[in-house]
Amino acid sequence: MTHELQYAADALSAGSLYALFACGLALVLSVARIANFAHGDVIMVASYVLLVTRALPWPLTVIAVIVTGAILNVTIDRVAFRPLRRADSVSLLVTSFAVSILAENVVDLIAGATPKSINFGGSFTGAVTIGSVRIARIDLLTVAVTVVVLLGLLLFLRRSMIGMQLRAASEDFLMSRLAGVRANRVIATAFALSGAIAGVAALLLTMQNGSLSIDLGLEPTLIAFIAVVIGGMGSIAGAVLGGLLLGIVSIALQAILPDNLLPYHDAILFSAVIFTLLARPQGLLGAKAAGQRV
Amino acid sequence: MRFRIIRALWTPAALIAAVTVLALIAGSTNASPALINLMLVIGLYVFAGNSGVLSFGHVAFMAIGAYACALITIPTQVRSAVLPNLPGLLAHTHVSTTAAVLIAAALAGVAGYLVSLPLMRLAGLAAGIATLALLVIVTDFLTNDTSLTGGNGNLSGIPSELGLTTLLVWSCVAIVIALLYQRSRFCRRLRAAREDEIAARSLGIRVERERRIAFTLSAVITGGAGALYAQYLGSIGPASFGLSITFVIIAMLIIGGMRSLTGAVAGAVLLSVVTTALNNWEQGQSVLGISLSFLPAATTELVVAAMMILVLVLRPDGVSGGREVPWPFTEPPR
Repeated sequence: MTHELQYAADALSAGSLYALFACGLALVLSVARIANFAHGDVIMVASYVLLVTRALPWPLTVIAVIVTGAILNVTIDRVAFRPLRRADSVSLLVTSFAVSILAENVVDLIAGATPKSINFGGSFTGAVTIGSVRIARIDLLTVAVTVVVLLGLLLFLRRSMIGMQLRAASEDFLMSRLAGVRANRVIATAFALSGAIAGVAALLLTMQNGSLSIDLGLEPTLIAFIAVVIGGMGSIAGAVLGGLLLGIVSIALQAILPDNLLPYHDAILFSAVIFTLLARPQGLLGAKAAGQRV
Repeated sequence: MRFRIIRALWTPAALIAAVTVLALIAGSTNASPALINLMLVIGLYVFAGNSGVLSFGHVAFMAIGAYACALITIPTQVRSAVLPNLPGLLAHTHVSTTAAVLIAAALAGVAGYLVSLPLMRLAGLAAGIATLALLVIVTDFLTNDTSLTGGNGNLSGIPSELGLTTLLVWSCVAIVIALLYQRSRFCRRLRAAREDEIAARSLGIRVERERRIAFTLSAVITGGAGALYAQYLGSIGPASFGLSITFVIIAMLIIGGMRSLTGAVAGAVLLSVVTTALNNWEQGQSVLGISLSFLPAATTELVVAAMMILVLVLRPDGVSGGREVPWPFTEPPR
């Protein structure tokens, strides 16, 4: 029983982190229909900012990282995506790909390509023992932070004026503009929120891994994309669900697979993703009509 | 009638002539990787340009082609030393380099067909993600199935007597295949589906089938290019088939123009020139007498990414604008 509880704790923690990755991506995707390949690289830059500011008292560091994420994301929108508002989705995806490579190489120029390690020490290492299960403190922190962030996002989207405008824009952009929603402002807000969430994810990810490198953004991007596509594009709840599922299945595979198949757990996970897409191309929580209607 | 034949041959002749002249000017060391990249871009164009669906995982077929070629051309004694657990047939087959390219391309084509059976129902972002997932699956498999592939390290000993002439011949073959497909009715239907999928379906076009054909042909070309890549380098490892080469190929296709073969060739040529010059400058060498050794190491990727963003913002159809090589004379009155 303890083994299963242990794995469950791991799975929840991984799922929460993946849900954060996916949520940031889905915010921008649902409002602006932009698949932001550079999302993971915003996480990467935010974690480098963490490296630079870690001498400061921790509330300041946290604020610095989150604000950097938000500002960076809004800048990317302003420079790379706003000129392409009317472009088709392939151009937008390729542009975000280019932005991602650009970001990685700029950080390479500034900080060098060797991975850097970062030590948090103190109260974040170590584990808490509940009954017979040892749960790492960082796992508890991840789950707690994710819950807080998601609840905050939910409140923001439901209760605030601009949250309502965001939801309206994600349902029907043209109509919401006709109703008075300022398009660029709402898209910039979505990017800012997404960047802030990316900053939080950067904090948690760096605390879990203890190291940074310029290609640390690739895995979160891939995970976020897969979670969004599985969960249903255009649905933030779907993305969160997709992220949770991915985390849980990934840890479950590592627990269940026999030893000789264990190195293939990524391949098996991605094959499962492809099968899910085939069975339900619109995603788990996506709209029922798979093709566009004339 | 004669005019029509000449007119029909103009595009491949112009492209082949341009590529040959540039390759001869550049010399073997610069032109060989550029020609391999050209073939990869043509491979990607055959699917992505004609169908409008961008595939992020095409390098998977390059990897399949490269490893297939490696497994059947490494001399048998070396093979039994490096990969002692190969199944019998693979351990003893040895073919010439030309046959190896054909076999590797065919194998990649079979893989492409099998993958396309489920995948062609997806479009847009879902297809991009699915193909990227495919690439991860293939690289995972290559890294971990050490009995077949030598694992994470390099698989060396591939005979590499690859000359510039051979590469030029294969490039011309790729251009001709892409062009023949482009003028076929299959491609015409696929392009109709690219422009307006619903209208195409209403005409009875089976969109998934046309995409499947393009995908398989594209996998064949990419696999052949992968085999030539293996022969050129003499040694391959899973790390060479990742996102950096994916980015280079996609950049070449986008900058040149995704919708025409001329665009694919133009993008490949343009970016090869730019990256070769930048790489030489980064390493402190001089290009055509100019030396810019202050350029730091990541400049090439930065410039390519910036070029890509500029093209997408200013001229989204790429350098070629979706058109083929223009016929330089006036058309005779019809």
